[in-house]
Amino acid sequence: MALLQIDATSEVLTGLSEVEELYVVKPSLESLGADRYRVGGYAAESVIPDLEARGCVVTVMMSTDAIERFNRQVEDSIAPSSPDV
Amino acid sequence: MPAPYPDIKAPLLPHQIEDALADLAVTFPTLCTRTVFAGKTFKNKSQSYIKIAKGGGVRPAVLVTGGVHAREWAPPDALVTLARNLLVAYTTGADIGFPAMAVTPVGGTAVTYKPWAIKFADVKGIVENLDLYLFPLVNPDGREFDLTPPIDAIGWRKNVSPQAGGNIGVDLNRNFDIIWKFEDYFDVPVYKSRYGNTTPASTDPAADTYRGPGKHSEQETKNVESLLDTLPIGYYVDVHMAGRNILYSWGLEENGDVPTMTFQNAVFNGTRDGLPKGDSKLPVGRTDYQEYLPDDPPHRIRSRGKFGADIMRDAILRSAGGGALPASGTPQWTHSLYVSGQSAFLYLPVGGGPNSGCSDDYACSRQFLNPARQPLFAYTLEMGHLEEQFFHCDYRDVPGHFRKINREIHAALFGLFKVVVTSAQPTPPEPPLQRVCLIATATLGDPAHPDVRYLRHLRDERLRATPAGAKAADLLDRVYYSFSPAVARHLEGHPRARAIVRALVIRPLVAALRRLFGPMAPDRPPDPPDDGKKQEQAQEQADARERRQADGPGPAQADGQGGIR
Ligand SMILES: [Zn+2]
Repeated sequence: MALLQIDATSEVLTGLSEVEELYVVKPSLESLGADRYRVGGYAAESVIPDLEARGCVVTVMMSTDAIERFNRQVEDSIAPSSPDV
Repeated sequence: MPAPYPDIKAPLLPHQIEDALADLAVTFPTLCTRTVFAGKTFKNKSQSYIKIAKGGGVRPAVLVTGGVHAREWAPPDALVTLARNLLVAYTTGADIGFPAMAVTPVGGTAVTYKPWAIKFADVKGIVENLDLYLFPLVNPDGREFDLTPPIDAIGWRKNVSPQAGGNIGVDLNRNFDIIWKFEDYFDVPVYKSRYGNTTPASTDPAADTYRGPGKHSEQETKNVESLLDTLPIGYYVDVHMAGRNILYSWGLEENGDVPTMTFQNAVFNGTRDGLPKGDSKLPVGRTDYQEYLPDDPPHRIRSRGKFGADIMRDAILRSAGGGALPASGTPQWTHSLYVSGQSAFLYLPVGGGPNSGCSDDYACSRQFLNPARQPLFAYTLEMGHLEEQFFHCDYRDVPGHFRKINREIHAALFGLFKVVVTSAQPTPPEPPLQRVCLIATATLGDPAHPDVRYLRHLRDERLRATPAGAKAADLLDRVYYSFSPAVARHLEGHPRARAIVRALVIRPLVAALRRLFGPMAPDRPPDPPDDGKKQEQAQEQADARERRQADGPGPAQADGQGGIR
C-alpha cells in the first residue's frame, strides 16, 4: 500500500467509492477551488492507472516500500508488548 | 516516574499509557485523581481516566478523549503529554515551553517554527478554575492490535471484540447510543440517493465502520457514555486523526431552528433526509429535515459551538506563529491551517454525509434529554494531515510530525480551556446526587414519594457529612448513573416493569438502608415512632396509586384524558 494524494473534481471523487482497492481518508478532503478537491488515501501503485483514467491527478507521497521501511522502524522503537492478562 | 518527563519518541503501548496515568496520580496527589472503570475490555484490559483540578466547588468541566480509533497514534500520546505538562507547570510555576522546531512534510521541505509557550498564568487559571477530565486511550485493545508487528500500512480502526461471521471489531465511533439504529432515524433510500451505496454507519461486521451488534454494545463505548452521563461536562472534545478539521455539532443532520425537529421526535422517523439545505435529492413535497440546535440566549448553543471550534483553529495557527498569527500564505500558515465546520457535511464531495452513533453527537444529545445540562458543546478534532503520514505519523525529531501534532493538540485544547475559564460559565447541571433518584422516581411515580425523599436525604446529607461518606456517595453516583437514565426512560413507559422494580429492588433497598442508617432526621416528628407510621401510610397510598397504574389504562386513559403520571 502506498500513500497517495489525489486531486479531482467532486464528480470524479464521488465515483472513487467504486474503486475497491482504494482506501480514501475522507477527513483529509480539501477544497482547491473551482470544483477541484484534494484527498488522501491508500492503494497499491498498480491502482494508479485506473485512478488517472478516471480523471484523477495522483501523487505518490510514500511508496509501498517507504511505508514498509517506516513501519519496521516503528516496530523496533516501541516498547515490548505487555502480556494479556 | 519523576518529572521532568522525557519527550515521547514512539507510540506508547496501552500499558504504558495506563502506567503514565497511574504515575501522575501518585506524583501529584492533590491535583490529579485517577479512576479505573469497573468494566474491562474484551482483551481484559483495565481502563482509567484522570481528573486534574485544584480545589473544588461548582465550575466548568471539560472531558477530552483520545484513541477511540486504534490506528490514530498521536492523540493518546499527546494527551498524556498534556497532562504531564499541565501538572509539572502548575507545580513548578513555569510556562509550558515548546522549543523552535523544524518539521518536514512528506514530499516537501522542512518548515521552521518559532518557540511557543503556554503561560503559567493560563496554566494556573485552568488548574484552579476548571475540572479537566482526560481519558487518553478509549480503545486499548485496538491500539495494541494496530501496534503489533507487522504494522499495517492503513492501520486498524476498530476495537477487537469478536463479531458475527468470524470478523473482529466494532467502530466505537458508530456505536454510541445516538441514532445508532440509523434506519429508524433516516429515510435510507433518500440518504443513499445522495451519498451512493453507503449508510450513516455500516451494518457489515467486516466493515471498518461497523456499528456493532447493538447500541453501546462495547465496553469502551459504555465507558465514555458513563462519563458524559455522570459528570457535569459542559465541553467535550474527542481527539482523532487526520485531516486538519475541527468539527462541531451536529453530525446527525443539518442544524436547524424548528424545536420539534429532534432526534427524539418519532414523528419524523424514517423521513429524515440527511441532506444539506437545497439539495436536489429531497423528494418533492418533503419538508427538509434539520436537527434542532437552538441559538437563543442565554446559551446560544449553535453560535457558541462554532465559536469554540474557531477558537481552536485560531489557537493552532497562533502556535505555529510562535504566539502570533503567521501571515497568510506563509509555510507556517499553510501547514497549520485547520478548517472548522459542522460535522454532518464537511466531507460531502467524497460521499461523506451524516453519521450515526458518534461520540460528539452522543455528548451533544445529553442536553436535550436533560435540559438542565445546557449548554453542552461537543467537538471532534481531526489532527494531522496526509503530509504528516495520516494516522501513523513519524515520532522522530526528523521529520517531526508527532512533535508538530502534539503542539497543535496543546494549542487547540488550551485555547478552548482558556475560553471556558474566562468566559461565562455554562450553567452546571444539578449535582448528580440530586438526580440520583431517577430510577426511584420513575418507579414510584413521584419525586416526593417518601422512599425517594429518604434516598435523597441519605445521599445528600447523611453520606456527605463525612469525607468517607462523600466518597461512598460519589461511588454510588457513578455506579447508579452508569445505567439509571436509560432504565428510568424505559420504566416511564412500562407500568408493570415499574411495579416489579418497585417490589424487588427499590422497596427492599430502602428498607435495608432504613435499618442501617435509621429514619430521615429532618422529617422526624417529636415522637419518632409516628414518623415510621406516617411514612408507611404515605408509602401505602403511593403503592396503591402505583398498583392502579400498573394494572393498565382504565377508561379515562383509554379516552386519552389520563396517563401513567
Ligand atoms: Zn478517528
